[in-house]
Formats: sequence, structure tokens, C-alpha cells
Amino acid sequence: MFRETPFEFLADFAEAADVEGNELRGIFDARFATAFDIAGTGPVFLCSQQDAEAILTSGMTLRIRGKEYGVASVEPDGVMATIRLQEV
Amino acid sequence: MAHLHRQIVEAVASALTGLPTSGPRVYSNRRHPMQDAHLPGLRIFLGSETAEPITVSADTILERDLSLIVEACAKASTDVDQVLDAMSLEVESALADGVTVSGKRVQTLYSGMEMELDESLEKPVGVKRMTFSCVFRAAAMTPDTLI
Repeated sequence: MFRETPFEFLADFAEAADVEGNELRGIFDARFATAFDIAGTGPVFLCSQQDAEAILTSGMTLRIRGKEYGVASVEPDGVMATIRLQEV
Repeated sequence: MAHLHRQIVEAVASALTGLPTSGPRVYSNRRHPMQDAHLPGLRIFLGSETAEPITVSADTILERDLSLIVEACAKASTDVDQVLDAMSLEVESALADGVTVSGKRVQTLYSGMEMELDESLEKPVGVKRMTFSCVFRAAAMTPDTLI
């Protein structure tokens, strides 16, 4: 049986992002993506829903790996939240 | 000579090269996703075509109505729709008088557009898909020569 919780996963792989002065820990991913046959990346930040709700709302900015992103949407699933980002 | 379809596409590509927003980024043979270096840019595709015979002789002459699609493509942090609007203004103006193919004028009549925006990438992207109607005549036996 798979016994790990998402929070153990975060403890191993999360990195810190700065959300307008507050630290938010999560997993950053910006893999290759396309829309209308135009190439780019689809940056997302996966963190606990509880942390996201305490710190984030749409329209805020998040700085990670030296780049600033706007929060396009926060998509909770009951445990985790996927934060969709766009370059500012 | 190449088929008139290719000649018309190349004439349209030539007419659209060097516009203020898209500059040299005009593509009529794209097989791969556009990268940032290709944007803002224009893609040219053939759409559908209908043809009707206008003679009943042995050398049938066809009147052909070719649908040509020009896609304005852009990625921008802000106002991507305004970039696309500027591009379509430039494209429609450049094609308003038609294009020249083998010394003859082919009309490129604007017949409509669809616009789509997407916010799933690192910056908003959009495509404005303009359709132009090109009516021309050619003999059925020689689809590479305008009449």
C-alpha cells in the first residue's frame, strides 16, 4: 500500500517561493507546452492547499528562481493546490 | 511551374513580408510549433477550394475560389489582443489590392476571421485567423497557369 502523504513529498522536493514577503514552499514546474502550435512553458507551483489559502489569492505575484510570476489561478484539490503562473 | 496554389501562397507571403509588427516572420511551410523568435509572426495556409467549369469545350476552363488563411500569432504579457488587432490591420491593408502571380492580379478578398486566446502558457498567446477568398481561372489541364 502507498502510505506517503503529499506533505512528505513536499518535504523532500519543495523549494521556497516569495509571495510578496511571505515564504511559500512548493514544487515548481515549467515544462514544455504549446497552444495553437505556439511553443512555450506551462509554469505551475504545487503546494499544500492550506498554505496556499493562507497566503495566496489570484492577482498576487510569486518570485521563484529569480523570476517573478503573476498568479493566474489557484486550483485546490482538497489537499494540494496547483497554482498556475504567468511571467510578469 | 508550381501549382497555382503554391504560387498564390508565395505571392501572399511576399506581400506580407516586412509589415511593421510581424516583420520578416512570415511562414508558409511551418511544420513545427512557433518559438519565441518566430513571434509575433504570420502563418499562411491553404483552406478549401471550390471550382466550376465555365466552358464546355475540350479545354475546360475552371473558375476556382480558393480560401486562403492567414494567422496572426502573438505572445505578450499584456494586451495580446491589441497586438493581434494591429497585425490584422496590417495584413488586411497589405492584401486589399490582391497579389500579383505571373504578372496577373489575383484578388484576395477578406471574408472573415476567428480569434482565440489562451492563458495556459508562461505568457498569454493568441491567434487571429483571417480568411481571404481568391478567385481565379485556369484550364483544367494546366493548374499551374493563370488565365
